[in-house]
Amino acid sequence: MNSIRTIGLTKDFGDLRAVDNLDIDLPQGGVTGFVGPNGAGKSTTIRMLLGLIEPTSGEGEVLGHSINDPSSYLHRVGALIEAPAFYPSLSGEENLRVFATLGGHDPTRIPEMVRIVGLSDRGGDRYKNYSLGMKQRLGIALALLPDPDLLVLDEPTNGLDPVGIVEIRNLLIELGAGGRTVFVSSHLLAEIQAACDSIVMIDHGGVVFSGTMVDLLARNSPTIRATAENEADTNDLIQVATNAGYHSTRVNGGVEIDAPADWAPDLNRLAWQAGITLRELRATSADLEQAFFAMTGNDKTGTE
Amino acid sequence: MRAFRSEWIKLSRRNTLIGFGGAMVGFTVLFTFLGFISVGGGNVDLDGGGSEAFVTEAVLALPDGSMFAMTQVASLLGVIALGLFASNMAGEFNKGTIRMLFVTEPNRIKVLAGKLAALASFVALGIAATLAASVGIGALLAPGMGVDTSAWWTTEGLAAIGTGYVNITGAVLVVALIGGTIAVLTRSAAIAISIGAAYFIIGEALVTAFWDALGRWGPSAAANTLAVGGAGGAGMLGGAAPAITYATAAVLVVGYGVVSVAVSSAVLARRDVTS
Repeated sequence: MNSIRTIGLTKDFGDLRAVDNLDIDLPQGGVTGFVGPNGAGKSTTIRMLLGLIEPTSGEGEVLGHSINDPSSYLHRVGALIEAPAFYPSLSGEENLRVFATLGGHDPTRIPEMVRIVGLSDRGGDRYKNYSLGMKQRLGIALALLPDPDLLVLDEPTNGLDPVGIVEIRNLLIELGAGGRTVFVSSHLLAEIQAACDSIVMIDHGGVVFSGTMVDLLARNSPTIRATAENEADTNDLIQVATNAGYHSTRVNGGVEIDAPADWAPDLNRLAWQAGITLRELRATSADLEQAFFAMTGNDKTGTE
Repeated sequence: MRAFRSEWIKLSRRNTLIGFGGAMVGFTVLFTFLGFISVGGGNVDLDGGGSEAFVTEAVLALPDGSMFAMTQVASLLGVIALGLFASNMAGEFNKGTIRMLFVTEPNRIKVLAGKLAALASFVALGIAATLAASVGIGALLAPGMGVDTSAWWTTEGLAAIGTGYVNITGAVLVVALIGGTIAVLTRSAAIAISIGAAYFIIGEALVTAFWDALGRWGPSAAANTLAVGGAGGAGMLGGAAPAITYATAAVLVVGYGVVSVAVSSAVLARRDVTS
Protein backbone atom coordinates (compact mmCIF):
# COMPACT_ATOMS: atom_id res chain seq x y z
CA MET A 1 0.00 0.00 0.00
CA ASN A 2 1.26 3.47 -0.89
CA SER A 3 1.10 6.35 1.53
CA ILE A 4 -0.01 8.74 -1.16
CA ARG A 5 -1.17 7.91 -4.65
CA THR A 6 -2.79 10.23 -7.15
CA ILE A 7 -3.89 9.53 -10.70
CA GLY A 8 -4.68 12.43 -12.96
CA LEU A 9 -5.49 14.66 -10.02
CA THR A 10 -6.69 18.00 -11.33
CA LYS A 11 -7.99 21.17 -9.71
CA ASP A 12 -9.37 24.19 -11.49
CA PHE A 13 -10.17 27.51 -9.84
CA GLY A 14 -12.35 29.10 -12.47
CA ASP A 15 -10.20 29.40 -15.57
CA LEU A 16 -7.00 28.73 -13.66
CA ARG A 17 -5.74 25.14 -13.62
CA ALA A 18 -3.83 24.92 -10.35
CA VAL A 19 -3.08 21.19 -10.51
CA ASP A 20 -2.95 19.42 -13.84
CA ASN A 21 -3.20 15.63 -14.13
CA LEU A 22 -0.94 15.02 -11.20
CA ASP A 23 0.38 11.49 -10.75
CA ILE A 24 2.16 10.77 -7.48
CA ASP A 25 3.16 7.41 -6.10
CA LEU A 26 4.63 7.65 -2.64
CA PRO A 27 5.72 4.47 -0.87
CA GLN A 28 5.36 4.00 2.87
CA GLY A 29 8.15 5.17 5.11
CA GLY A 30 10.95 7.63 4.55
CA VAL A 31 11.05 11.33 3.90
CA THR A 32 9.86 12.67 0.57
CA GLY A 33 10.36 16.25 -0.52
CA PHE A 34 7.69 18.11 -2.45
CA VAL A 35 9.17 20.99 -4.37
CA GLY A 36 8.22 23.36 -7.12
CA PRO A 37 8.19 27.06 -7.91
CA ASN A 38 5.62 29.40 -6.34
CA GLY A 39 2.23 28.72 -7.87
CA ALA A 40 3.25 25.26 -9.05
CA GLY A 41 0.33 23.69 -7.21
CA LYS A 42 2.01 22.31 -4.08
CA SER A 43 -0.36 23.81 -1.53
CA THR A 44 -3.42 23.00 -3.63
CA THR A 45 -2.25 19.40 -3.91
CA ILE A 46 -1.66 19.16 -0.17
CA ARG A 47 -5.10 20.64 0.53
CA MET A 48 -6.70 18.08 -1.76
CA LEU A 49 -4.86 15.27 0.02
CA LEU A 50 -6.12 16.63 3.34
CA GLY A 51 -9.73 16.93 2.25
CA LEU A 52 -9.81 20.72 2.35
CA ILE A 53 -10.29 21.15 -1.39
CA GLU A 54 -12.37 19.00 -3.67
CA PRO A 55 -10.57 17.87 -6.84
CA THR A 56 -12.07 18.88 -10.16
CA SER A 57 -11.17 15.48 -11.58
CA GLY A 58 -8.82 12.56 -11.04
CA GLU A 59 -8.36 10.21 -8.13
CA GLY A 60 -6.28 10.14 -5.03
CA GLU A 61 -5.56 7.83 -2.15
CA VAL A 62 -3.98 8.49 1.21
CA LEU A 63 -2.99 5.51 3.34
CA GLY A 64 -5.11 3.34 1.07
CA HIS A 65 -8.28 5.40 1.37
CA SER A 66 -9.88 7.63 -1.23
CA ILE A 67 -9.39 11.35 -0.72
CA ASN A 68 -13.14 11.66 -1.24
CA ASP A 69 -13.51 10.18 2.25
CA PRO A 70 -11.00 12.09 4.40
CA SER A 71 -12.64 10.87 7.62
CA SER A 72 -11.28 7.40 6.88
CA TYR A 73 -7.62 8.40 7.04
CA LEU A 74 -7.10 11.88 8.52
CA HIS A 75 -6.99 10.56 12.09
CA ARG A 76 -3.72 8.85 11.03
CA VAL A 77 -2.32 11.98 9.40
CA GLY A 78 -0.49 14.88 11.01
CA ALA A 79 -0.40 18.09 9.03
CA LEU A 80 1.10 21.53 9.00
CA ILE A 81 -0.46 23.55 6.20
CA GLU A 82 1.39 26.67 5.11
CA ALA A 83 1.71 29.12 7.99
CA PRO A 84 0.67 27.69 11.37
CA ALA A 85 -2.72 28.96 12.51
CA PHE A 86 -3.74 28.96 16.16
CA TYR A 87 -5.81 30.96 18.63
CA PRO A 88 -3.80 34.02 19.69
CA SER A 89 -5.23 34.41 23.18
CA LEU A 90 -4.60 30.78 24.15
CA SER A 91 -1.24 29.43 25.23
CA GLY A 92 0.65 26.98 23.04
CA GLU A 93 -0.40 24.05 25.22
CA GLU A 94 -4.02 25.22 25.37
CA ASN A 95 -4.05 25.42 21.60
CA LEU A 96 -2.81 21.86 21.39
CA ARG A 97 -5.50 20.82 23.89
CA VAL A 98 -8.20 22.38 21.69
CA PHE A 99 -7.13 20.26 18.73
CA ALA A 100 -6.36 17.15 20.80
CA THR A 101 -9.88 17.29 22.22
CA LEU A 102 -11.42 17.86 18.80
CA GLY A 103 -9.46 15.03 17.20
CA GLY A 104 -9.82 12.62 20.10
CA HIS A 105 -6.05 12.48 20.53
CA ASP A 106 -4.41 11.62 23.81
CA PRO A 107 -3.88 14.95 25.63
CA THR A 108 -1.16 13.42 27.81
CA ARG A 109 1.05 13.51 24.70
CA ILE A 110 1.00 17.32 24.66
CA PRO A 111 3.95 17.91 27.05
CA GLU A 112 6.04 15.39 25.13
CA MET A 113 5.24 17.01 21.77
CA VAL A 114 6.04 20.43 23.17
CA ARG A 115 9.35 19.08 24.43
CA ILE A 116 10.22 17.47 21.10
CA VAL A 117 9.86 20.75 19.24
CA GLY A 118 11.79 22.67 21.89
CA LEU A 119 8.95 24.69 23.40
CA SER A 120 8.95 23.19 26.91
CA ASP A 121 9.75 26.45 28.62
CA ARG A 122 7.29 28.51 26.53
CA GLY A 123 4.35 26.14 26.21
CA GLY A 124 2.36 28.13 28.75
CA ASP A 125 2.89 31.46 26.99
CA ARG A 126 0.19 32.97 24.84
CA TYR A 127 0.48 32.13 21.18
CA LYS A 128 0.27 35.79 20.19
CA ASN A 129 3.57 36.37 21.98
CA TYR A 130 5.38 33.66 20.01
CA SER A 131 8.03 34.42 17.40
CA LEU A 132 7.53 33.06 13.90
CA GLY A 133 9.90 30.21 14.64
CA MET A 134 8.03 29.29 17.83
CA LYS A 135 4.73 29.33 15.97
CA GLN A 136 6.25 27.00 13.41
CA ARG A 137 7.44 24.66 16.15
CA LEU A 138 3.99 24.61 17.68
CA GLY A 139 2.55 23.73 14.27
CA ILE A 140 4.92 20.79 14.04
CA ALA A 141 3.96 19.72 17.58
CA LEU A 142 0.32 19.72 16.49
CA ALA A 143 1.17 17.63 13.44
CA LEU A 144 2.93 15.08 15.68
CA LEU A 145 0.09 14.98 18.21
CA PRO A 146 -1.95 12.15 16.61
CA ASP A 147 1.18 9.93 16.45
CA PRO A 148 0.61 9.86 12.69
CA ASP A 149 1.50 7.25 10.09
CA LEU A 150 1.78 10.05 7.55
CA LEU A 151 3.13 13.49 8.27
CA VAL A 152 2.36 16.23 5.74
CA LEU A 153 4.36 19.37 6.39
CA ASP A 154 4.15 22.48 4.26
CA GLU A 155 7.21 24.68 4.76
CA PRO A 156 8.02 23.37 8.26
CA THR A 157 11.28 25.30 8.61
CA ASN A 158 9.81 28.64 7.61
CA GLY A 159 10.97 31.26 10.11
CA LEU A 160 13.30 28.97 12.02
CA ASP A 161 16.83 29.98 12.87
CA PRO A 162 19.72 27.81 11.62
CA VAL A 163 19.75 25.75 14.82
CA GLY A 164 15.99 25.21 14.54
CA ILE A 165 16.32 24.19 10.90
CA VAL A 166 18.89 21.55 11.78
CA GLU A 167 16.72 20.31 14.68
CA ILE A 168 13.67 19.95 12.47
CA ARG A 169 15.71 18.31 9.73
CA ASN A 170 17.02 15.73 12.18
CA LEU A 171 13.52 15.21 13.54
CA LEU A 172 12.16 14.55 10.05
CA ILE A 173 14.94 12.09 9.29
CA GLU A 174 14.29 10.35 12.60
CA LEU A 175 10.56 10.15 11.94
CA GLY A 176 11.10 8.83 8.44
CA ALA A 177 13.56 6.21 9.64
CA GLY A 178 11.08 5.08 12.26
CA GLY A 179 8.61 3.82 9.68
CA ARG A 180 6.48 6.91 9.27
CA THR A 181 6.05 8.59 5.93
CA VAL A 182 7.01 12.23 5.92
CA PHE A 183 5.87 14.35 2.97
CA VAL A 184 7.48 17.73 3.26
CA SER A 185 7.20 20.79 1.07
CA SER A 186 9.87 23.45 1.29
CA HIS A 187 11.58 26.18 -0.66
CA LEU A 188 14.83 25.45 1.14
CA LEU A 189 16.19 23.05 -1.44
CA ALA A 190 19.38 22.36 0.50
CA GLU A 191 17.22 21.21 3.41
CA ILE A 192 15.14 19.00 1.18
CA GLN A 193 18.29 17.48 -0.25
CA ALA A 194 19.71 16.89 3.23
CA ALA A 195 16.57 15.38 4.73
CA CYS A 196 14.77 13.53 1.95
CA ASP A 197 15.22 10.08 0.45
CA SER A 198 12.93 10.79 -2.47
CA ILE A 199 11.40 13.76 -4.14
CA VAL A 200 8.37 14.87 -6.08
CA MET A 201 9.00 17.95 -8.19
CA ILE A 202 6.11 19.76 -9.80
CA ASP A 203 5.76 22.73 -12.08
CA HIS A 204 2.68 24.34 -13.60
CA GLY A 205 0.53 21.84 -11.75
CA GLY A 206 2.19 18.72 -13.16
CA VAL A 207 4.94 16.36 -12.04
CA VAL A 208 8.33 16.95 -13.65
CA PHE A 209 10.16 14.38 -11.54
CA SER A 210 9.19 11.74 -9.03
CA GLY A 211 11.76 9.31 -7.67
CA THR A 212 14.70 8.95 -5.37
CA MET A 213 17.01 11.82 -4.62
CA VAL A 214 19.94 9.73 -5.90
CA ASP A 215 18.25 9.25 -9.26
CA LEU A 216 17.46 12.94 -9.55
CA LEU A 217 20.97 14.07 -8.78
CA ALA A 218 22.44 11.47 -11.14
CA ARG A 219 20.56 13.15 -13.95
CA ASN A 220 22.53 16.31 -13.47
CA SER A 221 26.19 16.24 -14.39
CA PRO A 222 28.80 17.81 -12.18
CA THR A 223 30.40 20.99 -13.46
CA ILE A 224 33.66 22.89 -13.16
CA ARG A 225 33.50 26.60 -12.73
CA ALA A 226 36.47 28.61 -13.97
CA THR A 227 37.06 32.33 -14.22
CA ALA A 228 39.93 33.94 -16.11
CA GLU A 229 41.88 36.63 -14.34
CA ASN A 230 41.49 38.74 -17.46
CA GLU A 231 37.89 38.65 -18.61
CA ALA A 232 39.02 39.08 -22.20
CA ASP A 233 40.41 35.53 -21.99
CA THR A 234 36.98 34.01 -21.35
CA ASN A 235 36.40 33.06 -24.98
CA ASP A 236 39.81 31.41 -25.09
CA LEU A 237 38.94 29.50 -21.93
CA ILE A 238 35.73 28.25 -23.55
CA GLN A 239 37.81 27.19 -26.54
CA VAL A 240 40.17 25.21 -24.27
CA ALA A 241 37.19 23.31 -22.85
CA THR A 242 35.69 22.76 -26.28
CA ASN A 243 38.99 21.41 -27.62
CA ALA A 244 38.99 18.93 -24.74
CA GLY A 245 35.50 17.80 -25.71
CA TYR A 246 33.46 19.50 -23.01
CA HIS A 247 30.48 21.79 -23.36
CA SER A 248 30.74 25.09 -21.53
CA THR A 249 28.58 28.11 -20.79
CA ARG A 250 29.31 31.68 -19.79
CA VAL A 251 27.92 32.37 -16.32
CA ASN A 252 28.42 35.61 -14.40
CA GLY A 253 31.76 36.51 -15.99
CA GLY A 254 33.12 32.98 -15.73
CA VAL A 255 32.62 29.66 -17.46
CA GLU A 256 30.74 26.58 -16.33
CA ILE A 257 32.05 23.45 -17.95
CA ASP A 258 30.13 20.19 -17.97
CA ALA A 259 33.08 18.07 -16.91
CA PRO A 260 33.95 15.76 -14.02
CA ALA A 261 35.73 17.20 -11.01
CA ASP A 262 38.93 15.28 -11.68
CA TRP A 263 39.40 17.17 -14.96
CA ALA A 264 39.92 20.42 -13.03
CA PRO A 265 43.75 20.00 -12.75
CA ASP A 266 43.95 19.29 -16.49
CA LEU A 267 41.93 22.44 -17.18
CA ASN A 268 44.26 24.47 -15.00
CA ARG A 269 47.26 23.11 -16.89
CA LEU A 270 45.69 23.61 -20.36
CA ALA A 271 44.63 27.14 -19.49
CA TRP A 272 48.15 28.00 -18.31
CA GLN A 273 49.60 26.57 -21.52
CA ALA A 274 47.13 28.76 -23.46
CA GLY A 275 48.35 31.82 -21.59
CA ILE A 276 45.27 32.12 -19.41
CA THR A 277 45.65 32.74 -15.70
CA LEU A 278 42.70 31.52 -13.66
CA ARG A 279 41.54 33.43 -10.62
CA GLU A 280 38.82 30.89 -9.82
CA LEU A 281 38.66 27.15 -10.36
CA ARG A 282 36.28 24.90 -8.49
CA ALA A 283 34.38 21.72 -9.11
CA THR A 284 30.71 21.61 -8.15
CA SER A 285 28.82 18.43 -7.55
CA ALA A 286 25.26 18.19 -8.73
CA ASP A 287 22.74 19.45 -6.18
CA LEU A 288 19.00 19.79 -5.89
CA GLU A 289 19.10 23.46 -6.71
CA GLN A 290 20.71 22.80 -10.07
CA ALA A 291 18.31 19.98 -10.74
CA PHE A 292 15.39 22.18 -9.76
CA PHE A 293 16.37 24.94 -12.14
CA ALA A 294 17.19 22.51 -14.89
CA MET A 295 13.89 20.68 -14.61
CA THR A 296 11.59 23.62 -14.03
CA GLY A 297 13.33 25.92 -16.49
CA ASN A 298 13.30 28.70 -13.91
CA ASP A 299 17.00 29.49 -13.91
CA LYS A 300 17.38 33.11 -12.82
CA THR A 301 20.85 32.71 -11.42
CA GLY A 302 22.58 34.90 -13.94
CA THR A 303 23.34 32.60 -16.86
CA GLU A 304 24.23 34.79 -19.84
CA MET B 1 -19.29 15.99 21.65
CA ARG B 2 -15.53 16.35 21.03
CA ALA B 3 -16.13 19.52 19.03
CA PHE B 4 -18.36 20.81 21.82
CA ARG B 5 -15.71 20.22 24.48
CA SER B 6 -12.98 21.61 22.25
CA GLU B 7 -14.94 24.80 21.70
CA TRP B 8 -15.50 25.23 25.40
CA ILE B 9 -11.75 25.34 26.00
CA LYS B 10 -11.76 28.56 23.99
CA LEU B 11 -14.97 29.93 25.48
CA SER B 12 -13.83 29.42 29.05
CA ARG B 13 -11.02 31.91 28.54
CA ARG B 14 -11.21 34.88 30.89
CA ASN B 15 -11.37 37.34 27.98
CA THR B 16 -14.47 35.70 26.54
CA LEU B 17 -16.13 35.35 29.92
CA ILE B 18 -15.49 38.96 30.82
CA GLY B 19 -16.10 40.36 27.35
CA PHE B 20 -19.36 38.68 26.45
CA GLY B 21 -20.65 37.33 29.75
CA GLY B 22 -19.76 40.56 31.49
CA ALA B 23 -21.46 42.67 28.84
CA MET B 24 -24.68 40.66 29.11
CA VAL B 25 -24.78 40.78 32.89
CA GLY B 26 -23.53 44.35 33.08
CA PHE B 27 -26.09 45.89 30.74
CA THR B 28 -28.96 43.99 32.34
CA VAL B 29 -27.93 44.91 35.87
CA LEU B 30 -27.59 48.53 34.77
CA PHE B 31 -31.03 48.50 33.21
CA THR B 32 -32.52 46.80 36.28
CA PHE B 33 -30.94 49.42 38.53
CA LEU B 34 -32.17 52.31 36.36
CA GLY B 35 -35.63 50.76 36.20
CA PHE B 36 -35.92 50.51 39.95
CA ILE B 37 -34.59 53.94 40.77
CA SER B 38 -36.99 55.51 38.24
CA VAL B 39 -40.11 53.90 39.66
CA GLY B 40 -42.81 56.56 39.29
CA GLY B 41 -45.68 55.14 41.30
CA GLY B 42 -48.37 55.43 38.63
CA ASN B 43 -50.94 52.84 37.73
CA VAL B 44 -50.38 50.06 35.28
CA ASP B 45 -51.57 51.05 31.83
CA LEU B 46 -52.70 47.77 30.34
CA ASP B 47 -54.46 49.28 27.32
CA GLY B 48 -51.28 50.81 25.95
CA GLY B 49 -52.53 54.38 26.28
CA GLY B 50 -49.55 55.60 28.26
CA SER B 51 -48.73 55.45 31.95
CA GLU B 52 -47.60 58.18 34.30
CA ALA B 53 -44.20 56.59 34.63
CA PHE B 54 -42.20 54.10 32.55
CA VAL B 55 -42.03 51.65 35.46
CA THR B 56 -44.50 51.56 38.30
CA GLU B 57 -44.53 49.84 41.67
CA ALA B 58 -47.61 47.97 40.49
CA VAL B 59 -45.80 46.63 37.42
CA LEU B 60 -42.83 45.49 39.43
CA ALA B 61 -45.04 43.91 42.06
CA LEU B 62 -46.70 41.62 39.49
CA PRO B 63 -45.70 37.93 39.53
CA ASP B 64 -43.70 38.52 36.34
CA GLY B 65 -42.39 41.88 37.55
CA SER B 66 -39.01 40.27 38.17
CA MET B 67 -38.64 39.86 34.40
CA PHE B 68 -39.25 43.46 33.39
CA ALA B 69 -35.60 44.34 32.88
CA MET B 70 -34.73 41.10 31.11
CA THR B 71 -37.54 41.41 28.60
CA GLN B 72 -36.58 44.97 27.81
CA VAL B 73 -32.90 44.20 27.23
CA ALA B 74 -33.50 40.98 25.30
CA SER B 75 -32.80 42.64 21.95
CA LEU B 76 -29.55 44.05 23.32
CA LEU B 77 -28.57 40.60 24.62
CA GLY B 78 -29.34 39.30 21.15
CA VAL B 79 -26.92 41.73 19.56
CA ILE B 80 -24.21 40.82 22.10
CA ALA B 81 -24.74 37.14 21.35
CA LEU B 82 -24.68 37.92 17.64
CA GLY B 83 -21.28 39.49 18.18
CA LEU B 84 -20.06 36.37 19.96
CA PHE B 85 -21.28 33.99 17.28
CA ALA B 86 -20.09 36.15 14.39
CA SER B 87 -16.64 36.83 15.83
CA ASN B 88 -16.18 33.17 16.69
CA MET B 89 -17.25 31.83 13.30
CA ALA B 90 -15.52 34.48 11.19
CA GLY B 91 -12.46 34.31 13.42
CA GLU B 92 -11.82 30.74 12.30
CA PHE B 93 -11.48 32.01 8.74
CA ASN B 94 -9.53 35.14 9.65
CA LYS B 95 -7.01 33.26 11.78
CA GLY B 96 -6.81 30.36 9.33
CA THR B 97 -7.71 27.90 12.07
CA ILE B 98 -10.64 26.62 10.02
CA ARG B 99 -8.27 24.45 7.99
CA MET B 100 -6.75 22.94 11.12
CA LEU B 101 -10.22 22.27 12.52
CA PHE B 102 -11.30 20.48 9.35
CA VAL B 103 -8.10 18.45 9.10
CA THR B 104 -8.43 17.43 12.74
CA GLU B 105 -12.13 16.59 12.38
CA PRO B 106 -12.97 16.05 8.69
CA ASN B 107 -16.69 15.82 9.36
CA ARG B 108 -17.44 19.50 8.99
CA ILE B 109 -21.03 19.18 10.15
CA LYS B 110 -19.78 17.74 13.44
CA VAL B 111 -17.42 20.68 13.85
CA LEU B 112 -20.22 23.14 13.15
CA ALA B 113 -22.71 21.34 15.38
CA GLY B 114 -20.26 21.17 18.28
CA LYS B 115 -19.27 24.79 17.84
CA LEU B 116 -22.87 26.03 17.69
CA ALA B 117 -23.89 23.87 20.64
CA ALA B 118 -21.00 25.21 22.70
CA LEU B 119 -21.75 28.81 21.76
CA ALA B 120 -25.45 28.31 22.44
CA SER B 121 -24.75 26.77 25.84
CA PHE B 122 -22.39 29.65 26.62
CA VAL B 123 -25.12 32.14 25.75
CA ALA B 124 -27.75 30.16 27.66
CA LEU B 125 -25.53 30.14 30.74
CA GLY B 126 -24.85 33.83 30.26
CA ILE B 127 -28.57 34.56 30.12
CA ALA B 128 -29.13 32.45 33.24
CA ALA B 129 -26.44 34.39 35.07
CA THR B 130 -27.87 37.64 33.73
CA LEU B 131 -31.36 36.68 34.85
CA ALA B 132 -30.13 35.70 38.29
CA ALA B 133 -28.28 38.98 38.61
CA SER B 134 -31.24 41.00 37.40
CA VAL B 135 -33.74 39.31 39.72
CA GLY B 136 -31.27 39.45 42.60
CA ILE B 137 -30.54 43.16 42.14
CA GLY B 138 -34.26 43.80 41.76
CA ALA B 139 -35.06 41.97 44.97
CA LEU B 140 -32.38 43.94 46.79
CA LEU B 141 -33.54 47.32 45.48
CA ALA B 142 -37.29 46.64 45.76
CA PRO B 143 -37.77 47.32 49.50
CA GLY B 144 -36.09 50.69 49.25
CA MET B 145 -38.37 51.69 46.36
CA GLY B 146 -41.51 50.46 48.07
CA VAL B 147 -42.02 47.55 45.72
CA ASP B 148 -43.61 44.44 47.16
CA THR B 149 -41.88 41.44 45.59
CA SER B 150 -43.79 38.73 47.41
CA ALA B 151 -45.59 37.78 44.17
CA TRP B 152 -42.23 37.05 42.51
CA TRP B 153 -41.72 34.00 44.68
CA THR B 154 -45.15 32.49 44.20
CA THR B 155 -45.61 29.56 41.86
CA GLU B 156 -46.89 31.94 39.22
CA GLY B 157 -43.92 34.23 39.72
CA LEU B 158 -41.34 31.43 39.50
CA ALA B 159 -43.10 30.06 36.43
CA ALA B 160 -42.83 33.50 34.85
CA ILE B 161 -39.09 33.47 35.50
CA GLY B 162 -38.76 30.00 33.93
CA THR B 163 -40.90 30.85 30.92
CA GLY B 164 -39.18 34.18 30.51
CA TYR B 165 -35.79 32.48 30.53
CA VAL B 166 -36.81 30.05 27.78
CA ASN B 167 -38.38 32.81 25.69
CA ILE B 168 -35.46 35.18 26.00
CA THR B 169 -32.92 32.44 25.35
CA GLY B 170 -34.78 31.41 22.20
CA ALA B 171 -35.04 34.99 21.01
CA VAL B 172 -31.39 35.72 21.69
CA LEU B 173 -30.16 32.51 20.07
CA VAL B 174 -31.99 33.06 16.79
CA VAL B 175 -30.39 36.48 16.48
CA ALA B 176 -27.00 34.93 17.28
CA LEU B 177 -27.48 32.10 14.78
CA ILE B 178 -28.30 34.55 12.03
CA GLY B 179 -25.16 36.51 12.93
CA GLY B 180 -23.12 33.31 12.77
CA THR B 181 -24.50 32.50 9.36
CA ILE B 182 -23.66 35.97 8.05
CA ALA B 183 -20.13 35.39 9.37
CA VAL B 184 -19.83 32.07 7.53
CA LEU B 185 -21.01 33.73 4.34
CA THR B 186 -18.83 36.84 4.61
CA ARG B 187 -15.87 35.29 6.52
CA SER B 188 -15.50 38.64 8.25
CA ALA B 189 -16.42 39.36 11.86
CA ALA B 190 -16.55 43.11 11.28
CA ILE B 191 -18.87 42.82 8.30
CA ALA B 192 -21.06 40.18 9.93
CA ILE B 193 -21.45 42.14 13.17
CA SER B 194 -22.09 45.37 11.27
CA ILE B 195 -24.75 43.82 9.07
CA GLY B 196 -26.35 41.82 11.88
CA ALA B 197 -26.38 44.57 14.49
CA ALA B 198 -27.59 47.18 12.03
CA TYR B 199 -30.42 44.93 10.91
CA PHE B 200 -31.62 43.96 14.37
CA ILE B 201 -31.18 47.37 15.97
CA ILE B 202 -32.69 49.56 13.25
CA GLY B 203 -32.72 47.88 9.85
CA GLU B 204 -35.88 45.82 10.17
CA ALA B 205 -37.78 48.72 11.71
CA LEU B 206 -36.76 50.96 8.82
CA VAL B 207 -37.79 48.47 6.17
CA THR B 208 -41.05 47.88 8.01
CA ALA B 209 -41.96 51.50 7.32
CA PHE B 210 -42.21 50.54 3.65
CA TRP B 211 -43.15 46.89 3.99
CA ASP B 212 -45.50 46.10 6.86
CA ALA B 213 -45.16 42.35 6.62
CA LEU B 214 -41.54 42.45 7.77
CA GLY B 215 -42.69 44.04 11.01
CA ARG B 216 -44.84 40.97 11.65
CA TRP B 217 -42.83 38.13 10.15
CA GLY B 218 -39.25 39.38 10.20
CA PRO B 219 -36.66 37.77 12.49
CA SER B 220 -36.33 40.83 14.70
CA ALA B 221 -40.09 41.12 15.18
CA ALA B 222 -40.42 37.40 15.89
CA ALA B 223 -37.52 37.43 18.36
CA ASN B 224 -38.85 40.49 20.16
CA THR B 225 -42.32 39.01 20.40
CA LEU B 226 -40.97 35.76 21.76
CA ALA B 227 -38.75 37.59 24.25
CA VAL B 228 -41.69 39.44 25.79
CA GLY B 229 -43.76 36.27 25.89
CA GLY B 230 -46.30 37.38 23.31
CA ALA B 231 -48.14 40.48 24.40
CA GLY B 232 -47.19 40.28 28.07
CA GLY B 233 -44.11 42.42 28.38
CA ALA B 234 -45.08 45.04 25.86
CA GLY B 235 -48.54 45.44 27.28
CA MET B 236 -47.20 45.41 30.80
CA LEU B 237 -45.03 48.44 30.17
CA GLY B 238 -47.62 50.30 28.19
CA GLY B 239 -46.35 49.64 24.67
CA ALA B 240 -48.31 48.40 21.70
CA ALA B 241 -49.10 44.69 21.62
CA PRO B 242 -47.03 42.65 19.12
CA ALA B 243 -48.58 42.07 15.72
CA ILE B 244 -48.19 38.30 15.91
CA THR B 245 -49.07 35.77 18.56
CA TYR B 246 -46.63 34.07 20.86
CA ALA B 247 -47.13 30.78 19.05
CA THR B 248 -46.47 32.34 15.66
CA ALA B 249 -43.37 34.02 17.01
CA ALA B 250 -42.12 30.73 18.42
CA VAL B 251 -42.63 28.96 15.10
CA LEU B 252 -40.90 31.77 13.21
CA VAL B 253 -37.94 31.80 15.59
CA VAL B 254 -37.47 28.06 15.23
CA GLY B 255 -37.82 28.39 11.47
CA TYR B 256 -35.25 31.17 11.20
CA GLY B 257 -32.90 29.18 13.42
CA VAL B 258 -33.24 26.04 11.32
CA VAL B 259 -32.70 27.97 8.09
CA SER B 260 -29.61 29.67 9.53
CA VAL B 261 -28.04 26.39 10.61
CA ALA B 262 -28.92 24.79 7.27
CA VAL B 263 -27.30 27.61 5.31
CA SER B 264 -24.15 27.51 7.46
CA SER B 265 -23.95 23.73 7.12
CA ALA B 266 -24.40 23.79 3.36
CA VAL B 267 -21.79 26.49 2.87
CA LEU B 268 -19.20 24.92 5.16
CA ALA B 269 -19.72 21.41 3.84
CA ARG B 270 -19.29 22.39 0.20
CA ARG B 271 -16.85 25.25 0.20
CA ASP B 272 -13.16 24.67 -0.54
CA VAL B 273 -10.95 25.81 2.31
CA THR B 274 -8.35 27.93 0.59
CA SER B 275 -7.69 30.56 3.26
